[in-house]
Amino acid sequence: MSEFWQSIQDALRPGPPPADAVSAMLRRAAGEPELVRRRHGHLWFAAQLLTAQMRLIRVSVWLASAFVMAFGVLVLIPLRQGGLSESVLAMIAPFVAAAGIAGVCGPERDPGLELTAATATSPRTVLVARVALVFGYDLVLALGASLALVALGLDTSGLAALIGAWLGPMALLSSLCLLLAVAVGTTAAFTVGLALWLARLLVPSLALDTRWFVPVANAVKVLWATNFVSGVLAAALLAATVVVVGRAYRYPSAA
Amino acid sequence: MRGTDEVLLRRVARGEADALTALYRRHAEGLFGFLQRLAGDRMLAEEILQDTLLAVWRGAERFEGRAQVRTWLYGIARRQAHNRLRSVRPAETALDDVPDVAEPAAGPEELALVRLDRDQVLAAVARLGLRHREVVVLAFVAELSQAEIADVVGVPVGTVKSRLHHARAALVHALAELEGTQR
Repeated sequence: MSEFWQSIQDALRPGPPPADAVSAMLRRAAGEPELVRRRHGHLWFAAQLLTAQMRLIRVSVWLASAFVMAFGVLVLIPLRQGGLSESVLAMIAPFVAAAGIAGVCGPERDPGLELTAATATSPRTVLVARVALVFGYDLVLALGASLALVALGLDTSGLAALIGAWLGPMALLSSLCLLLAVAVGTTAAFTVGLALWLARLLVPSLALDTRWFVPVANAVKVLWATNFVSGVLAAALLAATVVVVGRAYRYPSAA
Repeated sequence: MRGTDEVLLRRVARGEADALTALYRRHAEGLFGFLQRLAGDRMLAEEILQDTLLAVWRGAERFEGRAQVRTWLYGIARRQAHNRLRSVRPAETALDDVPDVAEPAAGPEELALVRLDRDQVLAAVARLGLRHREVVVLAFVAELSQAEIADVVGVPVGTVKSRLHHARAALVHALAELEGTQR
């Protein structure tokens, strides 16, 4: 190399590299889900995510669901009418779950959203964790209520029929409210959920024989039950939500 | 050296931070020098270095051993630098289109420039277009061979030779201009 190019090389010689670059990078990467998963495994990550989300969901959500469900069972005890159990649980369980999901998955009333938005965990993962927590909790409550009613001799149709009365409607109404909460907002989800719930309440008692009412009544009957149609519809709504949530929320991406 | 780098990288892929530290220490001077001279700013170079280390940490398991670890590292650093510099750096004074000159071997012009100060050299390098600056820096700062530069940049060796030739010519041209403005 000529003297000229040697002098160029000398002039370009850089300063010392930072000594703590790796530790600085690791500190920065500490919250990245992909790295946490790689280090501790998927189960550990899932447990951490669920625990974190559980802390972020307001206590009132858990308490309100438990209170309404317990109230439903307590109301049935003095009545001692076997046929009422299915109807009461079919009305209470779906609404409790749908209201809870609308309350924790919409952007307006969620104190944990700001924290969630500051993490690199994908919004879809966070949403699935939250839905799993709230729906799972309400599912356990409804199962507990069903078991209690059967154990107390307050249901004559059997446990399977009792669960069938609320499981399908609960999944369908919850997935619809979830989609609305994510796409439109908590208030809209709650309002639509309440309207559908009232429709379910009122339609069977209205003996209208008009051209438009009969198909509506039939549709309500089919959808507000545990069957293939309500199951597929609930799954489709859930899939739509997963698609929408990635666009509706803007989270910082991992580096 | 190559074998040891690969062993370290396999340990990095398993999540061993001390292996990444060891790998970084081996290549820190060249990598950081490359980034510092490419970015022209120490703070920015440190940020790109962190991006690079993060990409290595995340992508170590994808290293297939088809390239040397060293050129793989520089390839990642280059990509991270391009990502950052595209958004940060304004339009450069392009010297890529300077008239082609003969291979700048030691001549009167160069001998007159031998005593150029460091700031002038840095200013001249900063005026090079990114693709010419990167080959100059890889050759002079990271001290990679032309074949290694070809691996890093992802072009044939002939293209590296051509770019180096033009980059050197542009550098001499820039230095002469800078020298002229100071007189």
